[in-house]
Amino acid sequence: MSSLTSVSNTSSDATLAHSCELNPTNQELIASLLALESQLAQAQKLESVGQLAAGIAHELNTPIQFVGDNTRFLKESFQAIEGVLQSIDHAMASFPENEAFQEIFKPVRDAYQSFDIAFVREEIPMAIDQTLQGAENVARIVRAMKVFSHPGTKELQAVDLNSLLESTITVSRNEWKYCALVETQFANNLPKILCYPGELNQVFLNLIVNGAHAIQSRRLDTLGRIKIQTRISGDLVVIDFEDTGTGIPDAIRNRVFDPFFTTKGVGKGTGQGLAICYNIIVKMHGGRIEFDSVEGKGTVFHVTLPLESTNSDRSTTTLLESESRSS
Amino acid sequence: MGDTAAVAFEKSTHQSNRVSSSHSRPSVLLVDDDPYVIAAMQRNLHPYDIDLHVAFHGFQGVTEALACEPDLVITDLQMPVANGIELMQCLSHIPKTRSVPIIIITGRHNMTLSKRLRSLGVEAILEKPVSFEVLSKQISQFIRFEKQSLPFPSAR
Repeated sequence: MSSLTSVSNTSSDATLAHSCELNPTNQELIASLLALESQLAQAQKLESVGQLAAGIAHELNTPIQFVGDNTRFLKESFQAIEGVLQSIDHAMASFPENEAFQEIFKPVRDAYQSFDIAFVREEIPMAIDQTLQGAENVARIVRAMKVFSHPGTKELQAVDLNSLLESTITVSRNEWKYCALVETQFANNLPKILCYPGELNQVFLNLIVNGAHAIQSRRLDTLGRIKIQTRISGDLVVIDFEDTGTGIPDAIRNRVFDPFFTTKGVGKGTGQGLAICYNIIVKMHGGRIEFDSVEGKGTVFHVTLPLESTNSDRSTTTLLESESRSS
Repeated sequence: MGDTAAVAFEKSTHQSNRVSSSHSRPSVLLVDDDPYVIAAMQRNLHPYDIDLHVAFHGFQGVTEALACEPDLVITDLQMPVANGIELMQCLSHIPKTRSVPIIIITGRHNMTLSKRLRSLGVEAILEKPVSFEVLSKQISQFIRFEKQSLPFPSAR
């Protein structure tokens, strides 16, 4: 019995030793599997948030419609009422000192004096204008959200990059408004370019949010600046995202596009942002993404896209066309 | 909903009786399933010299159109009972309403839908929220669209 035990012990020792050898590889595999899983979960979450946002944007349109229409009605109505009030003012000021008249109009006078009518008459038009402005802002944000959360068709679309950037800036406003001013300088001769707009939106959003976070990290009392510029350079279009943030330290410059690389705290950054940007710009669009950075001064990300669609996509299209013709 | 519709309908017919020469006024049918959207548009359209009729879904839109023979239909797309597309299809099969111009105001808009709508003979597609100024401009392309009197007592 005891010998048996020792035999089995020996064999289990051997197995143990063997499995110890295998263990690191297993652990690595498990780690990368877990990472992939969480990445997938994150992607799925983002997708459902996107769908939810699109749905909410649609739902908001109806209330915005009648809030706007009603406020417009109130504005026109109050302008007319103000006219009536002015004629009453005028009449009251020119009443004869006749006792009978005074008696008749006493209730009107009393009503006038019962509250601060001057204040109300001054404030109502402003309250209405501000409400109209607010409704317009909501409408603009909803429009931007619709552009932004539009389900990415898996086909290339001819898109105006400037308006794509505008909508991304609007959607991300909450991320930058407390720490930066966003300045745009858009080339007005930009032709529409063939791209995957949903994916490009994501790149723009990531770069704007990164810029805002870099500015926040400096903890300055004044607002920083994010400048977004589009320009044509030969047969390329260049989009620059310039921020006055902390800059990227030399030591980590060659790692910023690595997946899972992040300098942000646990739960804040997933280390996916720039890796995703790289994938979308370089692999999907045949473009380039590079940066210049000065520590303590800021960073400029340059996104370069071909004015024409990517070559690989074009050849695929041609191939498909010739196939369908031959069949 | 039915009650609201009836009330709104009474209101709109009442409104059309204000001026005696109501026969020469263009007749407009407004269809939307949200009573607040209808109410807000009615308020803004009130000063205009038109006969305004309303319906709260596509089916009601058809019966209303048969009754009032509108010169213009303004309709939402997504509605219960019958949607805007079904409304248009019905109208296009009725001789009285076959050629009535249609303006679509929709919260859901995309290129595929817009192509389909154009193929159904839609004249204009507006996306919610649409400002009253933009809507007025569109309306005046199809009918005489003028204020009938000052909307409110004016001050001199």
